[in-house]
Amino acid sequence: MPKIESSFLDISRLDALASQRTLIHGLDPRAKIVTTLIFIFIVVSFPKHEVTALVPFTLYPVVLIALANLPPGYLFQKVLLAAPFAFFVGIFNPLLDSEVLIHLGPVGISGGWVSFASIMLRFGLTVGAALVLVATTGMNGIGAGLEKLGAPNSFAVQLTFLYRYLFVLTDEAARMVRARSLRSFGIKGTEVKVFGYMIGHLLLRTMDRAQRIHQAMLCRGFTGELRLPVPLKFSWRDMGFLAGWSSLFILMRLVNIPQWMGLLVTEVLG
Amino acid sequence: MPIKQLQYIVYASLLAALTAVGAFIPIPIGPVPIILQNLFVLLAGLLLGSRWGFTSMAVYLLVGAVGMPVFTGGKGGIAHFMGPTGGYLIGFAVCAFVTGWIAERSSGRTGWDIAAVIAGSLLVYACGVPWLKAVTAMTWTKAVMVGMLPFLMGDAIKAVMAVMLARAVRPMLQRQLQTVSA
Repeated sequence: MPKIESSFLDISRLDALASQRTLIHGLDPRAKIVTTLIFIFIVVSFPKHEVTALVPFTLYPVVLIALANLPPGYLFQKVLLAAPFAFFVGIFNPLLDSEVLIHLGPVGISGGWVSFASIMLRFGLTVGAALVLVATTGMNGIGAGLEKLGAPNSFAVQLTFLYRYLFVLTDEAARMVRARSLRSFGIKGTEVKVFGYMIGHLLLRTMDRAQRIHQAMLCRGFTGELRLPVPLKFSWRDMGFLAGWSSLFILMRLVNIPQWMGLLVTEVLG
Repeated sequence: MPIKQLQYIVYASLLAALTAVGAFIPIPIGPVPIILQNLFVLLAGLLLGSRWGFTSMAVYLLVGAVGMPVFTGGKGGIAHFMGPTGGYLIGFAVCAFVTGWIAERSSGRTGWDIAAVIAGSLLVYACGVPWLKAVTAMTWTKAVMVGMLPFLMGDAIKAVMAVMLARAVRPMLQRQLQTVSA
């Protein structure tokens, strides 16, 4: 069971990162959400054999990590955690597509390997961008931003609630599992019946907690409106961030910058 | 926001959180350990109905998609939707909706609750197995052998537990909802 606690402690690290005060953290969540969505949409829209044109897109997460004072090693580690899934998706490509597509000197690289590299790069970029969004905005900010962007209020409220309850129920479940472990001297095998009781207890405690939380909300006059310490205000700075990055993404989608630079260098040298 | 709607949001969020916690509690029986996620997905449908059961799972999936460690084994990230298990994740939302839809029409009858959990459980596989086959380029037989058969016994246990727990908890839930309405 320690895994459950350590996983959720990990969430609180993202929370701590989101509470920093930097230029990027100060931007309106809507600007960051929409920019991230455009980034993901454009990255995913590339053809399956494209690799070089994707490389300049690393600029977005790298610049944000630097400006938002985020630990690159920690985020890279989180991206690596998702990598086995991307690996599994793409690893069959070299077997299915063995036609040589590129020649690197005497070595021929098949289309399957190129598409595999493209999948890995796209996964890294999209997962990285989503993590940067959470680490610079926080779940409360994302919930409030989504609501202002037109997502149903109940959906946005539920998103922020879920985020809080994850910690509460993790504690509850961890306590129960620890108690069972201590009373049974850490025995591994457990009867289904015992687990049935445990889950029943967890469910009843959850229902009881739900009732208490709801009553507390009513007592405090909560009406379902998400409130942040600083009300959301979409300024020219946010507009600049959104428009600037979006234009750059579109440019990078239309022009293969590494190829263009390569041609330029070849011409100058030639 | 109406008071009752707020209460449903609290319940839906808590069940979504339970689904996340369920990913960490394996029941060590049989060759494949049983993960409790599906149990809470079924319970979301049985207790909250189609609309709130679906919303609960949609929010759970969104939180997982942005990288929170709520999927099996404490994983998270949008990559999981593109991977071999992506279909099962989408199946959770479909399962909660259909289970809830049938349960809403059951008027608390056990037979209908059983039908609801069977339909819900099968729909998870209906979404998961074709996805697994497409992503891994397996044959249909192999996809069923790997992605469905080893889990059937566990799912049967979870379905029975879901019906029993729902029938035990439902009166309490209805009492709480009626208290608010009054």
